[in-house]
Amino acid sequence: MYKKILIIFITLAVIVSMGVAGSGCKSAVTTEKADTATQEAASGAKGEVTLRMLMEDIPATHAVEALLPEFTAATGIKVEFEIVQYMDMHQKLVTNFMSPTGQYDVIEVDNYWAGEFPATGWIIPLDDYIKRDNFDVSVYIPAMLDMVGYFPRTGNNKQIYMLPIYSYSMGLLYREDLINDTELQETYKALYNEDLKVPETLEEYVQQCRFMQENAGVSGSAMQGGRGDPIVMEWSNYLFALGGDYYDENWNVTINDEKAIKAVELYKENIQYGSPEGALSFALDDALRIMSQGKAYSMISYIIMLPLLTDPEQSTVADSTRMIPMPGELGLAGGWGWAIAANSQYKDESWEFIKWVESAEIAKKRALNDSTPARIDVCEDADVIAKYPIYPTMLKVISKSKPIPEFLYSAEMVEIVGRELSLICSGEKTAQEGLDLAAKELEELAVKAKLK
Amino acid sequence: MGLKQNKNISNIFTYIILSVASLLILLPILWVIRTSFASELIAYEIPPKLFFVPTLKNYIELFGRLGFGSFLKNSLIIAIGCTVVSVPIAALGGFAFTRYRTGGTTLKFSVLATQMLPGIILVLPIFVIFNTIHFTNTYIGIILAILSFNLPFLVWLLMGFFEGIPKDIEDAAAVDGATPWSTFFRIVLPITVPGIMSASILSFILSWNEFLFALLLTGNNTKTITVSLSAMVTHRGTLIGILSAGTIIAIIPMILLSIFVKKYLIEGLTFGAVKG
Amino acid sequence: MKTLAQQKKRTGLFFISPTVLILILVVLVPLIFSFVISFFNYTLVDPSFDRFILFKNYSTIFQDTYLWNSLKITLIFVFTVVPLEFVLGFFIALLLNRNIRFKGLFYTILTIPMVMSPVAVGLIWKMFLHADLGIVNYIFSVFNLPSVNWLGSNKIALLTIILVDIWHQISFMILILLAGLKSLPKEPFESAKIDGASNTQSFFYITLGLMRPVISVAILIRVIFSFKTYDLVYTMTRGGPGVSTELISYFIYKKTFMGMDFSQATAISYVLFVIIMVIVIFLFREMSGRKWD
Repeated sequence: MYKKILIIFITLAVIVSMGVAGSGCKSAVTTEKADTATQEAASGAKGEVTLRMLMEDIPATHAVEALLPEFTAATGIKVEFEIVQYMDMHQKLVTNFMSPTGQYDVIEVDNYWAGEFPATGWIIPLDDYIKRDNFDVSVYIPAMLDMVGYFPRTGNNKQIYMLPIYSYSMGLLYREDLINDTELQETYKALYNEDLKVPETLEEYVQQCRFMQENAGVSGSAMQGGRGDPIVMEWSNYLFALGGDYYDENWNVTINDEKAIKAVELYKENIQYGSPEGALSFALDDALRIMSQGKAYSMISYIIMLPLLTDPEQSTVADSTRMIPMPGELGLAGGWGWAIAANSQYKDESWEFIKWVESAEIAKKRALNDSTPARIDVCEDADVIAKYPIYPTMLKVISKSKPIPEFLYSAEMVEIVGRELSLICSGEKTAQEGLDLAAKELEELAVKAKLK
Repeated sequence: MGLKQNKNISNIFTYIILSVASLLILLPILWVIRTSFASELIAYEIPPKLFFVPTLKNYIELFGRLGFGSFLKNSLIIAIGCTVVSVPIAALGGFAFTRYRTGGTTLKFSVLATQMLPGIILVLPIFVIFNTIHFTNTYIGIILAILSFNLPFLVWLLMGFFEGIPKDIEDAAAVDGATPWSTFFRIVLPITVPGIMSASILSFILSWNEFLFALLLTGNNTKTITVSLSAMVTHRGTLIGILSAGTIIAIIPMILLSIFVKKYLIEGLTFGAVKG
Repeated sequence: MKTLAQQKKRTGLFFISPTVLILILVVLVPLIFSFVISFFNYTLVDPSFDRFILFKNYSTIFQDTYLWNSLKITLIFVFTVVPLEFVLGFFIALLLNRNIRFKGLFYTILTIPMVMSPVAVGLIWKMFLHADLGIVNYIFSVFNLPSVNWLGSNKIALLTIILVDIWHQISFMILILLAGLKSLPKEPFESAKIDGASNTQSFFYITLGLMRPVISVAILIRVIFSFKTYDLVYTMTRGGPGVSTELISYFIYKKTFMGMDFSQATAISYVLFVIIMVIVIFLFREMSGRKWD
C-alpha cells in the first residue's frame, strides 16, 4: 500500500518540479516594460524600502559603507550590504537570478561577467534612467565605460547596463632600487650590451627578470601562474603587450596565432627562469606576499596593489616600488560596475542609489577614502591627488589597457584558456597544442553565444 | 621479561606515537594562533620571527567591522538546531533499519544514495524552491537543507552501532512484555551512548562546517562563519591574520563540546552494561 | 491481537517515517528535477525545457578527455585517502582505548582538525605550503632538506592535497572507531583470555569481528564524502597545475558556474552517482557479509 503512495508522490513531484523550474527561471527574464509598469503601480508610498547589495570586502566597499547614512538621510531608503568573496559572489548571483524574486537589488558586476549578465537579461539597461535624470556619463574614463558600461561594446544596439565603480587594470610594478643599483647595471651591460632601464618591450622585461633572478638574489617576477583566473589575467598582459587578442572584431578566434604563441613562450620562459618556485600555484595573494616581502624585482599586477606595496605597514619595499603601464602595446584592463538586478522589486530606488553613489560629490568622497575612481573629473581633482599621489600613475595604466572579450561565456573562456596555459607551463603540452585546443573550444563558445 | 615490563614498554610506545600524532596536529594550530596575533608583514616573513609584538588588531576587526559575533551565533543556532532534530530522528531510523529491516536493503540504500550526488546539483533547485516559499535567509530553511544531508549519514552511523548490540536483551525485554518503544528508550539507547555521542558530534560538525548550502541559502541575517571566513580572500589579498583569528574562534565551541562528550567516548561510560 | 512481527513492522515504519519524510521533502524533488534536466539542454543562461536531447548530454561528456582525467584522479584520491585514514585512525583509536594517562588531552587535540571548516583548512595550509614563504619549506631548510614545490608541481600537487585531507579528516575515523571500541562488550574478551588467547589473537578475531558493522559504516561514509571533496581543490589549486588535481566534484562545479551548462553537470553527476553506488554496494557486501534482502 505504501509503495503505491510513494509512486503517486513521486509522479506529483516530477510534475511540480518541472512547473516550478520552468516558470521560475523563465520569469526572471521579464521584459523591462512589464516590470516598470508593476513598479509604478505598486510604489505609491516609498515607505520602508531597504536595498540589498552584494559586495566584496575591500576598501572601496568600506568607503561607500561609511557614507550610507548620508544616503538614507537624503532619500529615506535604507541600504544593506552583504559581503562575500569574489568567486562566491558569482555563484551567489547566478543562483539568485534563477529565481523570480531576487535577493539583491543593486549589484556590483565584474568585467568578466559584464558580457554574461546583460546577454542573459539578468540586469536591466539604464539608458532610460540616465536620460530621465540627465546623468552625465561623459565624466567616465572612456575605456571604463566600454568595459563595464555598454553592452555590446560595439555596434548599433549598445545600451548602458552599468556605471563604472573602479578599475583594477594591470601594469608593471617594479623595484626602482634594483634598477638603479650600479653593480647590477654594470653586470647587465656586460651580459647583454644594453642598459638596465625601465623596460619598454615584453622581451626586454622577460630578459630582465631572468637576469635579476640569477644576479640580484630575488625572483625576477612574482608571477601568479595558478590555474584559472590568476594565470589568464597575468598572461593576457603578455598577449596584449605583443598586440595579440583572443578574438578579432568579427569574433574569429586569434588565440593561436603567432603573437599568442610568442606570448605563451615568453610567459613559460619567465615561469621557468624568472619566477619563484611555486609560481604555478600562485594566486594574487601568494605572488603579492613575495613582492611585499621584498623577494622579487617585479610583479605584473593590478593598480590596486600599488597603494598596498607603497604602504610601509604592509610592505617592506614601500619606498622603492614604482608602477608603469605594461611594457609593450597594452596591458589588461579590469573593473567593476554598478548594475540593477532584473528580478529586483525596487528598481527605481536602486537607480536612486546608483545615481547618488556616482555623483561627483560622493565619488570624490569615496576617492578620498581609498577607492580608486573611474571618473576623470575625480581623478584630476587637486584634493584627491594631494592625498593619493599615485592616482595619476593609476590613470596612466588604465588608459593603456584593454579588457578581455566580454560576451556570454567569458567566464568559461577564462577557464579554458587557464587550463591550457597551466598544462603548457607544466610541460604537459606544447604551446601550439594547448592553444590550438583552446582555439577550438573558444570557437565553439562564440558559436554557442550566437556571435558567429 | 616480566608481564609488567612488557606493559610498560608498550605504554611508552603508545605515549610516543600519540604525542607525535598530537604534535603533527597541534603545531599547525599553534602556528595559526600565532598568525592571528600577527600583522600581515610578520605573518609571511621568512625566516619567521619567533618573538614579536602581538597585536589584537585582527580580533578587533573580526568582531568589530566584520561582525563575526553574529555569524558565530548563527552557526551555533544552526548546528545545535540540526543536531537536536537530526540525532533523535536518525536514531529511530537507524534502529528501524537494523532491527525491523524496514524497507529492506532497498530503502536503506536509497536513503544513502541521496548523498552520492555533489551538493551543487541539489542546491540550485533547493534554492529556487526555498526562495519561492521565502525560506531563504531563515534558520528553518538552512536547518532543513542541512538535515537533508545529515540524516542519511547519521542513520547509517547509528545503524553501525545498533548492529553491535546483541539481540538477547531486547528479546528478553520483549518476553517480559516491553513494547518496542520502551525497549528502544530504556534498553537500547543507554547502551549505545558512545554511538549517540559520536553521532551528535558528527552532526554538529557537518552543520558547523557546511559551506555551499550556507553560501547560497543564507543571507545577512543567517550568515554562518564558514561563509564569512571564505570572504577573507579579497581582491586586495587574503586577510590571513583575520582568517586565522576567525578559525581559532570557530574551533573553540567544538573543543568545549568534545571536552563535554569525551567522558562518554573515552572512559566508555555507558548507562548500563550487558550482563551475562 | 497483532503478532509480534506485525507489531515490529508497524513500529519500524513509524520509526523511519520522519527520516523518509524529510528526505522526500527536501531532497527528492531536487533529485528528480536534476535527473530530468540531464536529458534536456538546460543551461543557466537559457533555462528552458524546450530542447529535449535524451542521451546527448551523456554521450558528449564521455568524449571529454578532461572528464576521464577527473574520474581517474578522483579514484586515485579516494582509494588512497580512505585506506590511509582508516589504518592510521584505527591505530590511534586503539592506542586511545588503552589504559593510559592524558587520554583526554590527546583525544581533544586529535579531534580538532575535523572541526575546522574545509575552506579555512585549505587557506591555512596554502599559507604553510607556500613554496617560498611557507613555514613547512622553512623547517625543511633548517634540516637541510630541499624545499618542495607542494602546490606548483603537477607531480606533487595531488599528493599534497591527499596529505592535507588526511590531516583534516583523520579525526573523523578516530572519533567513530573509538566510539565503536568503547561500545564493545567486555565478556568476549574476558572469556577469550580465560581460554588462553593472546592479545593479537583476541584483536584479530574478536575486536575486528565485533567492530565489523562500525568499521563498514565508517569506511562507507568516508568513501562517499571523499568523492565529494571539492573545498580543498577550490581553495588550494583550482584543479591545477595542469589538470593534476581536478577532482570530479570540482569539475562539476565548474561546469555549472562557469560553463553555465547545468544539464551537462547533472549528467556527469549521475554517472558519478552510478560509480559511487556500485563501489558502495560492493564494499557493503564484502564488509558486512550480508545479502540483499
